[in-house]
Amino acid sequence: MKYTFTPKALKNKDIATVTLATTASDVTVRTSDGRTVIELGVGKREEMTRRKLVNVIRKIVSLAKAANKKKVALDFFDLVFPHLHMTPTELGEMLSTNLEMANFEFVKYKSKPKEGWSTLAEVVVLGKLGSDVEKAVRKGKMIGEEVNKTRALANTPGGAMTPAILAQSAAEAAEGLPITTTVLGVREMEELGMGAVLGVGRGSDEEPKFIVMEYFGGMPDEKPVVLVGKGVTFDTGGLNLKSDTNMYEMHMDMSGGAAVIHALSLAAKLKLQKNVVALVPAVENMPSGSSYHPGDVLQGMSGKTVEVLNTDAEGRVILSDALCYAQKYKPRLVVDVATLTGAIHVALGAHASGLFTKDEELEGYFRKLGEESGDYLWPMPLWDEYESEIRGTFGDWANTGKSRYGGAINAALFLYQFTKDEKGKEAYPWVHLDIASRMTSADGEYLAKGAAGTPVRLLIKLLERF
Amino acid sequence: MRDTQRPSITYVLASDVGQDRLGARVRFAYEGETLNDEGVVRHEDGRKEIVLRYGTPSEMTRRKLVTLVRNIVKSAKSSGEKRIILSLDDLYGRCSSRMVSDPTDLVSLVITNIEMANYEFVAYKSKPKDGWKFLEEVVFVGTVRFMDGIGHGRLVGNGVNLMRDLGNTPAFDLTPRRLAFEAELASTGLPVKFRALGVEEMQTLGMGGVLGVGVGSVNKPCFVIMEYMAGPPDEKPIVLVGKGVTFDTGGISIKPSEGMEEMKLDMLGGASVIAAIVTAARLGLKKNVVALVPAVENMPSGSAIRPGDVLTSLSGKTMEVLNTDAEGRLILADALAYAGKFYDPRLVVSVATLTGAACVALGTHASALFAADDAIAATMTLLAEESGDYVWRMPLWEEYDDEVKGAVGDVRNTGKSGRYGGAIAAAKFLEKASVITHPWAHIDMAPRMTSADGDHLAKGAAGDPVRLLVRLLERYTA
Repeated sequence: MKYTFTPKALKNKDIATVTLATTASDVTVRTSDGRTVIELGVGKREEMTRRKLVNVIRKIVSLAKAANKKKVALDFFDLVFPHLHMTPTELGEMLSTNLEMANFEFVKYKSKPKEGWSTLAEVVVLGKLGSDVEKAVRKGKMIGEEVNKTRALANTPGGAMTPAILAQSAAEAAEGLPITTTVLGVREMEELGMGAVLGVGRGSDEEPKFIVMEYFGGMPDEKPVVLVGKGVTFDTGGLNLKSDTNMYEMHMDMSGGAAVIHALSLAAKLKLQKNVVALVPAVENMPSGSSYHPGDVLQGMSGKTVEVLNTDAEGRVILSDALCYAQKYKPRLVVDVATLTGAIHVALGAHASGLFTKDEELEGYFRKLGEESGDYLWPMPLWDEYESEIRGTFGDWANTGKSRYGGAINAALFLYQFTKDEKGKEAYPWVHLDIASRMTSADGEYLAKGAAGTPVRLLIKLLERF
Repeated sequence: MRDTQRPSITYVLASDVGQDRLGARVRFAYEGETLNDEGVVRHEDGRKEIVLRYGTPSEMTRRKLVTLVRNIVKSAKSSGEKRIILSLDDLYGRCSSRMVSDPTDLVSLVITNIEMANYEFVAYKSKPKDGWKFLEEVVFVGTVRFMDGIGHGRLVGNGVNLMRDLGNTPAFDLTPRRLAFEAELASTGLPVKFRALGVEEMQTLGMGGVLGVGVGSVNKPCFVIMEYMAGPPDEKPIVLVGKGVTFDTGGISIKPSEGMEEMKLDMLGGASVIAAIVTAARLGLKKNVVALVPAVENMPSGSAIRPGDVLTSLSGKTMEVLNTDAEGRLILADALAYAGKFYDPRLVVSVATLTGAACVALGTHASALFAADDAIAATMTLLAEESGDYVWRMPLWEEYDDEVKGAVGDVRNTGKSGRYGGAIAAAKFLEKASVITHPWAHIDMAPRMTSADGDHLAKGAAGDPVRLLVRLLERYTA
C-alpha cells in the first residue's frame, strides 16, 4: 500500500474520505460533487480505548473495500484521542500496521476476478505532520507487511509447506539482510543428539530440519535474545491421529515458527542494534509405517528422556530440543512461540494467547507489550503443584498430563524442564507463549480468515526494547 | 444428614509435656537423617514418633506448610494413632515471616488443616470392628502466645468440613428443600436470620431462571436467604451467592453417564456460602453478610425446560437456553439480580462449580477468578494465597461480550464459540444477564470441586473456597 502525506483535504473523486462520527453505526455518503465520504461510527469519543482504536483503523479498510474504493484519505488528528496518551509516532505506527493487516487477504490460490482484487492501494494521511510521524507510518507499514508475510507462510497448505520449504522460506526472508541462516539436516541433528525432533519427524517422507537464524546487530559482547518457534508444517497427530474436525487448519501448526522467522528478519530490516537468534525445529507429524509410537521413549539433546504418551503432543517434544539448543547462546532471554494446546483455546477463547513464565517481572512486562502491540496475552499458572502431572513412568518426563485437565499448563511445565541446564538450574530467563488460541483471526477483529500473524508485533516491540 | 461418625478433636496447649508417652510425637528430620516410609515409628523404649522432613528455609513456603501439616495427620491416621504431640515452638521457629504472620496465624493454619486432613466422609459406611482411624487429640507444646488461634482454626476447619458433608451427601438425601433445611439447622442458635422462598414466592418475584431450571424435577426448587448482620447498621453487606444444583443430570441436554455421579457435588458453591456465613457467625465477626443460594435439581423429564426455551430473569433480561446443561448461570443470574435489588452490597461474590472449561484451563490446583476490577482481583488473589484456597484470575474483556449475545433472547446461556473460552463466556453471561452494577467477583470452583492428587485430602469435596470466603469476610475493607 502506498502512503502519501498532505496537509489539506483533497477533492479527487476516486478517493473516499473517512471521518470518525460519534454515532453508533457507519454511513457512506455520496456528496453532490460526486465524492465519497465514509462516516465511521465510533460512539462517544471519550469512551475510545486503545483496543477499540485498533479495530476502528482496520474497519476503515473494510468500509473502503465495501464502497469499491482503492484510495482513502483520513485526517490523522481525527484519530487522536488525548485520553489514550499516545504519542503521534505511536499512533502513526499503529495506523499503518493495522491498515496493512486489514488489507491482507490470502489469494495466492484463487483466480483473479475480472474486476481485480478489492484491496486498497493508497492511503492519504491528511494533517500537518512532522517527518517523525511520516517515518513512524513507514515503520508501521514494514511491521504490518512482515505480519502479513507470517500469515501467508502459515496459510500455505501443508502440501506446499514442508520442513524443507519452511527452511527455504526462512532463507528467503533473510535475503539481502545481515542474517546468517543455517539449516541442520538429519545427519547434523543425529550428531547433536536431537532425538526428539528426529523422533517426531520419523513418520513423514519429508525430512525434518532445524532452522537457525542469527542476526547480530548489537554489541559483540551482548548476549542474544533467542526466539524459538514451533514448526510443525502439518500435524495429523501421528499415530494418535486427529479427528477430521480437529485436523482442519493443521497446516498452520508452524505459525510459531513463521512468527519468529519474520520477527527476526524484521529486526534486521529495522536495523535494530540487538543480537537475536531464531530457532525453528521443523517437522511434519504423520502416521506411517515409520512413525514414532505411543509408549516410545525419546532421548533428546539434553540427555533427558521423553515418554511419548500421545504422538499428537508433538510440539513440546520438538521444542524440548530447541530449548536445549538455545542454551549454547547463553541467552539473556528465550521466548518460545507455539500453537501448542487445544486447552489454551478452551481456557481463553479466541482473544488472547497464553503467557507462561516463572518470572513475575517478565509476566508484567510481556502483558504490557501485549497491550501496546495488540497481540494480547493472558498469564497462566506455572506452579510446582502441576509438575506431578507430567512425571514419566518409563521416561523422565511424559508428554501429556495424567488428567485431561490443565493441558496448557502441563505442556508449559514440560517445556520448563528443558530450560534447565545439566545441573537442574534455569539456564536462562524464559517465556512461553501458547498461541493456539490466536492461531486464526477471531470474529470482530476485521482481519481476513486464516492465520492471524500473532505475535510478530509483540516480538518486534520486545526486540526493540528488551 | 446422617451422623458423620467423626469425633471432634480435642486440642491441648501445654508449655511442657515432659515424658508424656501417649501418642506419637512429631519431629522434623535432622540434616542427613534417612527417613523410613511415612507413618509412626515405634522405638524399643516405647516412644512413638512421626518424623517428617522440613524443607530448607529457601524452599519452604506457606503452601508447603499446609502440605506438611496434612502429612502429619495422614501419617498418624495410617498407623491408627489417635493422639499426637506437636511442638508449635519448634514449628514457629522454623517459619519465616513470609510464611506466617504471627503465632495466631500459624495455629489457625495448623488446626484448620488438621481438621481438613482428618476429614473422611464415612456417614454411609458401617463402622469397622476396630473403629475409625480418626485423630482424637492433639497436644501442642508451646507458650500461651499460641492460645488465640486455636478456636479460630477449629471453627474455620469445621466450616470447611460442613461444606464437604453437604456436598458428599448423595442427592437422594440432599434435595433443594433438604439443602435449605440443613442451612437452617446449621444456623440454629446463631444470630443468623434464615428464610427460604418457595415456588409461589419466586413466581411473584419473577425468578424465571430458578423456576425454569427446577421445573423438570419433582423436588421443587427453593431460594435460601441467610442474613448475618452483626456489623454497623450503616455498613453495606457483602453478599455471597452460591450455586445450589443438588444434582445436575444436564437436563434434556443430558450428560454422558461417565462421571455423572460426581454431579451430586454441583451444589458446592451453595454449600460454601452457607458454611462461610455460619462460620462468620460462629466467629462473631462484626460484619454484615448475606448468603443467597438458588437450590434446584436439574432433571430430564416431561416437564423439563428444553433447548430453545427462553426464560425471563429477575433482572428483566430474557435468557435463551441453548443447552440445558448450562443451568448454573441461569439460576445464578436470578440470585445476583436479587442481591442487587434487595441489598446494596459493597461486594458480591458468586461461587459455583460452573464450567468444565475452567477445569481444562486450570487443571485441578486453582479455581478460576473473574473480576472486572483489578483491585478486587488482587485482594482476592492475595487472600486466596493466604487461605490455601488458591485462585487464578481469568479475563473478563469486552471482546468476549459477543459470545453471549442471544438471537431470540437478550443473552444466550452458552458461548458462540462453544467450548472455547467456556468459563469466560459463563462469567460474561452472569455479568450481562444479571445486569450486576455492584462490585463483583466470581469464582468458578469447578477445578477445585474434588480434592486433587497431592492435596492429602480425602476423596470427594475438597472444601474450596470456604477458607477464602471466611478470610474475605474477615478482611475485606473496601
